[in-house]
Amino acid sequence: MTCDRFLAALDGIDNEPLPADLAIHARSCRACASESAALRAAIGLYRLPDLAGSSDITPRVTALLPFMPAPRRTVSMRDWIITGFVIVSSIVLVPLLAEFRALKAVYGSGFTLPVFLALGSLVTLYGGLFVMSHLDDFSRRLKAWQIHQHGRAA
Amino acid sequence: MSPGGPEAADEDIIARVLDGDTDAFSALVRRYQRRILRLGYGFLKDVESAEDYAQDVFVKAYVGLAGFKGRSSFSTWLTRIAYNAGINAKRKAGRYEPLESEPVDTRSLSPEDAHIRAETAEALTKAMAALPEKYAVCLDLYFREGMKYEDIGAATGFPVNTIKSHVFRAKRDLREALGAGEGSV
Repeated sequence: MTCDRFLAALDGIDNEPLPADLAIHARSCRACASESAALRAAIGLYRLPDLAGSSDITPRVTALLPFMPAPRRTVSMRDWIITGFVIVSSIVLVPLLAEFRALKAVYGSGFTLPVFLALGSLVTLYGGLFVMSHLDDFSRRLKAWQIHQHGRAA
Repeated sequence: MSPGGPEAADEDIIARVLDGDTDAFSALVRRYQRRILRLGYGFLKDVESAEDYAQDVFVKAYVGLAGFKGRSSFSTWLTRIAYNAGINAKRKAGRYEPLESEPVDTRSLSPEDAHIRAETAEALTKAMAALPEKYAVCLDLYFREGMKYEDIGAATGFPVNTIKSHVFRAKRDLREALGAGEGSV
């Protein structure tokens, strides 16, 4: 590598240590090593100072947080859809299983009823959770739709 | 090491906050307030306003923390919130001011270091003056905050190649200025 190429590459590298090829050149070229060190030192010095006169804002921020809506973990729509798909698939596929048919033949409704009750409960639970966790969203969409309808009527 | 302590990873602290430990958020505020205050000063040119701005940024980040999905680092995500807040604030307060106009305390530096620092600041201020105003913040984020091209692009929405070329020119100018300064010291 030539010194010109080293310096051009030095200007182009990101905020990270020298890449291997530049480091090898710097080890064998005192002028380039010095140029690189000077640039790093200058930028390092430029980074030093804090904003003079400012105070620690942590107490101000933490005092406000109890009055703010607490952040909650959210389940993405993609995960909701995948879960719904798995539940519906199991409702469709379970009755097709050979084991299911064998047990049905032996126990009749004494087996199928609890299984379908369990699956039905699962669907109800899923639907209930989905609706409850999206009430705000539904409400927002309803309001937006009402405003849109009102605008069209006007 | 406590999970919300100074050594904890951002992701661990965020997980604690999302689990209901509101106090853990203070570790993130302590960790990033310097950057946010400096950005605030760049936009608002006043320490008191920068503190109010930083407070707003952290409250926004707290309220929207569930929206942080880890696709970028927390610092990049927070900087994006801060940048957008700064752009909004700037509409009221005027243009972004490159940070060298901030009141800095260089008393801890030796005279030689202070001189190099002043040369660096002057060269970068010149480089920023030659740019369209909106890109000054990119150079500050690169040189002052040590952010990488990709992260600056993610935070500001500017194309990475544009940021790269501006940083490239600024570094070249800086090297030239430092080289010229060597003879005069």
